Amino acid sequence: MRRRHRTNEPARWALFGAGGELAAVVLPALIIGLGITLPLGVLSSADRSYAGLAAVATHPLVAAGLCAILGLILWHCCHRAFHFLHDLQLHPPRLVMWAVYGFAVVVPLAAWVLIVT
Amino acid sequence: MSACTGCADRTPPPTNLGKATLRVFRYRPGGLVNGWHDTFEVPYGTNTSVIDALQWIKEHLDPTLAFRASCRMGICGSCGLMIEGRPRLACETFVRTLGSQATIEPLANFAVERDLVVDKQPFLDALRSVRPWVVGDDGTRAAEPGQPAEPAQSVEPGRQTPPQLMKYQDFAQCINCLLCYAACPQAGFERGFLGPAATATAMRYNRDSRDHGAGKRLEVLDTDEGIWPCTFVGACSQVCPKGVDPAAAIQMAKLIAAGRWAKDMVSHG
Amino acid sequence: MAETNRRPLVRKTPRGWFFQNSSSRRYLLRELTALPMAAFAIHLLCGLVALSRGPEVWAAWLAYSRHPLVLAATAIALAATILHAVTWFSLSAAVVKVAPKPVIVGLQVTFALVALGAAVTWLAVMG
Repeated sequence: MRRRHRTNEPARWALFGAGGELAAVVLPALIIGLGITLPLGVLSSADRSYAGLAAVATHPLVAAGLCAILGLILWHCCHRAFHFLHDLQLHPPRLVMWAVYGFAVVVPLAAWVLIVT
Repeated sequence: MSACTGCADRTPPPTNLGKATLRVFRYRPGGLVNGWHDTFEVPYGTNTSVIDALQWIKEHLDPTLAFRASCRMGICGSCGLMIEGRPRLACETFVRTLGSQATIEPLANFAVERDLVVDKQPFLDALRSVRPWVVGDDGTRAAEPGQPAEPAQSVEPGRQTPPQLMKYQDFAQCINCLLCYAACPQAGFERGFLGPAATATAMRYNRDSRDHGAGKRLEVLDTDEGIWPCTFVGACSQVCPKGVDPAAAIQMAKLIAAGRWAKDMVSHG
Repeated sequence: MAETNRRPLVRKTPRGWFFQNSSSRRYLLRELTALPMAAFAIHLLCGLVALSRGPEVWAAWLAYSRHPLVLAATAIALAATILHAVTWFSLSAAVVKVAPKPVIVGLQVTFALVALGAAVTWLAVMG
């Protein structure tokens, strides 16, 4: 008989879904805007953009929001990577699960701490 | 047997198209450890299905060939096979559509008992575990088949409006042919995986207005062997001969499980 | 246990199952979009940190972003993200088809708000 053992997969999957939807909606624009046109100075002179950008993006709340968005996208990617291990017929111990998902939490959190300090 | 006159006007008589070569998987318990392939030459025409070809082999070339078939019209779900590597119903696959040397194998992701016959028991256990019947409001079956409903149970007839029927009708088309399991890579790695058809059937009853079993079914769905091995490959829905879309059913179950998880978090802290 | 002559043959999925047919190859590609996307998310987080560390560090991050290899990686990330978006929306369409109304409306409102928030942030940052 199948027994219910509590699994936190629903929560991991919900965050994966949120991150996936976010990535599909905003990531193409972010890559074109911040990854390509900004460094190449297509829209405005990139080196002069510092003051305006820094004033907004380093505000603790704005930075928290940006880190949360990027963190969710990162969570989505880590979730896929973790399940991909299963597709490769590897059965990693729980420690690997903690490391993979932990990465998606620690990296944006560390970025936020570095920004506000 | 008299021919249907209405059809005879439109359907051309079956034409002999020559001989086809079929590579058929063979396995005997206690024989070669991993099975082998036999090659058979089979005469075929415009209307020869793979079942017809296998039956011809059994009658003319090798009476020991074992395979399952029954209705020959895509409704009994017995004749699922890997045909040229893809899970298909043998009754709906015509020999004329196959390549010059088509390989016929038992359904992937199931243990082989003999030749083309697989062990369906893991699926039958999975199906039974999701309570594939209308659960009454006291948690029992509304009516056991072949037995009168007990007085304690609802005696209201289960009337439904067309929209209520439409909510689950697509999922109710499943014929348990197991093509979805053979297409699903996760069913290959995770032998205990509840899988596509059982989840689609669970959702079929969850979405039925007369049913009260959704809570009990969630206890089976929301486990490591329930819906969560699924990574939405989507192959199950692609191969379904009845358009059931079990992949969507599993994602729906995931949404419900996630909602329930959030609710538990709020109520239990 | 009762004695039996059954010896069911269990066949193992080959490790290279991804390459067996075109739909599993597409699945492999879809799952692999996660890697370049993750790399770009980390790259952007680094950019945010650089922004907070003063103009020189920011200029260094911009110069790094202009490096041909980094630009090539960004282009791969863009291609991966577009593939992700296309597959994501076509898969969610399949679910939405059978989802109950409140769930759909809830999700649509949530993501409209998220997209709006992202657009406002975007305008604020670029403006």
